[in-house]
Amino acid sequence: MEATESTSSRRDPGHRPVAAVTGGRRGIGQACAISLAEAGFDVVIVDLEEDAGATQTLANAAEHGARARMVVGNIAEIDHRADLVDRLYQALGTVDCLVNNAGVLSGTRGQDLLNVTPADFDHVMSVNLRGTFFFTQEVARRMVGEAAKGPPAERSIITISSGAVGRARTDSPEYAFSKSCLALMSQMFALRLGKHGIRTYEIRPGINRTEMSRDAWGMYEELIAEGRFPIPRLGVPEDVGKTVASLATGGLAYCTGGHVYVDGGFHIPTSVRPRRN
Amino acid sequence: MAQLDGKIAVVTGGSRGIGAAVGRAFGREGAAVVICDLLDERGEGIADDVNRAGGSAIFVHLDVTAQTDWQAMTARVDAWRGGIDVLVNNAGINVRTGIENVGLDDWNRVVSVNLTGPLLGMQTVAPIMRRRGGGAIVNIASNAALRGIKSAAYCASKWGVRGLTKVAALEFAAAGIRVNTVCPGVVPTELNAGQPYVATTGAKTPMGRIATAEEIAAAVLFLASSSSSFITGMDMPVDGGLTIGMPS
Repeated sequence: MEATESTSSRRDPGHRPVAAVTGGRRGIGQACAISLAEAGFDVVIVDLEEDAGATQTLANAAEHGARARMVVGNIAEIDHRADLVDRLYQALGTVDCLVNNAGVLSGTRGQDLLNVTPADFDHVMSVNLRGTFFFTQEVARRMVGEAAKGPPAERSIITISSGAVGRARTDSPEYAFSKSCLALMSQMFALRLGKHGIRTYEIRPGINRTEMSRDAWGMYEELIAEGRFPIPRLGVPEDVGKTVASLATGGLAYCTGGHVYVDGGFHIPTSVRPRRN
Repeated sequence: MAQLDGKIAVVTGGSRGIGAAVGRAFGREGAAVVICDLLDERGEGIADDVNRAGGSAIFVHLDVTAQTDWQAMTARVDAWRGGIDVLVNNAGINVRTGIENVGLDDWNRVVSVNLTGPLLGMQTVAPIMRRRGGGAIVNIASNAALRGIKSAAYCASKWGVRGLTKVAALEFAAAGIRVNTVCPGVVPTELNAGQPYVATTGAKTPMGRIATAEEIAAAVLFLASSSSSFITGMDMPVDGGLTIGMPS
């Protein structure tokens, strides 16, 4: 019953909850911000610089009636996390939904397991895991504080990890390490925050047609041609955006700590290629 | 816009519990709903509810273990609307006995309804969806498909549903048909009325309570709608975090 009440408050036309999206100036983060705006959220994007992509994200979100703001900052600079989260909360007054999307690949992409350097490792971990964890911790503390004071509201923390979670590989191990730890992180916050009415979700995108993966598009097109992807296309950022919007609006109100593969079925363990019609 | 506008959706076990909640939710979201069950009178009642609420629904008698019933159902739906876009294999039964005590008749009955039923449903409906260029199938398994419980036939049949779902996702993906599993936690329904775990599971759950049928229906709606257009072959627990562990 509690869930029904809070879901109906979401439909109050005068009330737009606030979503924060890290890495919101391009790619999946941009699509998440726009989908959330379309679903009725005001949005704050957190990213390294206010470039043309950021401006585009804010403009597209505003077209859906959202107040759209940007906070410039780096989640990896954890000594400044309180200041960054202060500015995030000041932007639109609160945060009902946090989308942890910011992430990097190492500068020397695709390094073999035997060649990865400490610098590659530290760079990826500092953003994807260390930065995301402490940023989430800071936001979660404030969400718990608001949950204790305020009226019931739907609050959620959605972490974009990767289809790389839990899969052994021989290249870019630091990326898989960081994303696999985010999966565990999302479950840990689910356990800790459930009683405060804060749900957590983890989304595992497959291969998306984004700038970050541009140099791998060709390889993935070959895999598609070989029939390795059940749904025979690359993902697009909007696939993830739609899923985030469904989760943030309470579409899965009794799910927490779970993960959703948005990958066209690539995760299905199989030695059989899907049948082509 | 409603999430299932213009879609034709079949829900088995739709006369009560989770199936009825799915039927109602689909009706609200604009689907033409086909409520299927063995319980005719109650199924007619759910269809009436959907129609009174401004939706569109019919009831069709269906024993999910009978191929002839599946054929008759699709013929009826063809005459009513023409085609099927969404299939929810929800009908299920439980016999609570372990391996040493389960009778072969009970075992066969549970496996027949819980596992063979979804197989027959997909066999019947996939060609229809294929002709229409795609569709979505949601198979209702259980939290018992993610761990072991003491009911042998139920647990094994629900694990089987997960496996069958993965086969279906691979087999049908190129036809534009997505297939996913929902694994509900404890929902108070007639199937588990009086079971002690209904009262005790909430306290062991990270979200501090058990689910409502409507919350399971919401997850089914997500997987049936275009919001999940790139999601296939997945198992989705809807259990308040029960299967990830215990909060301290």
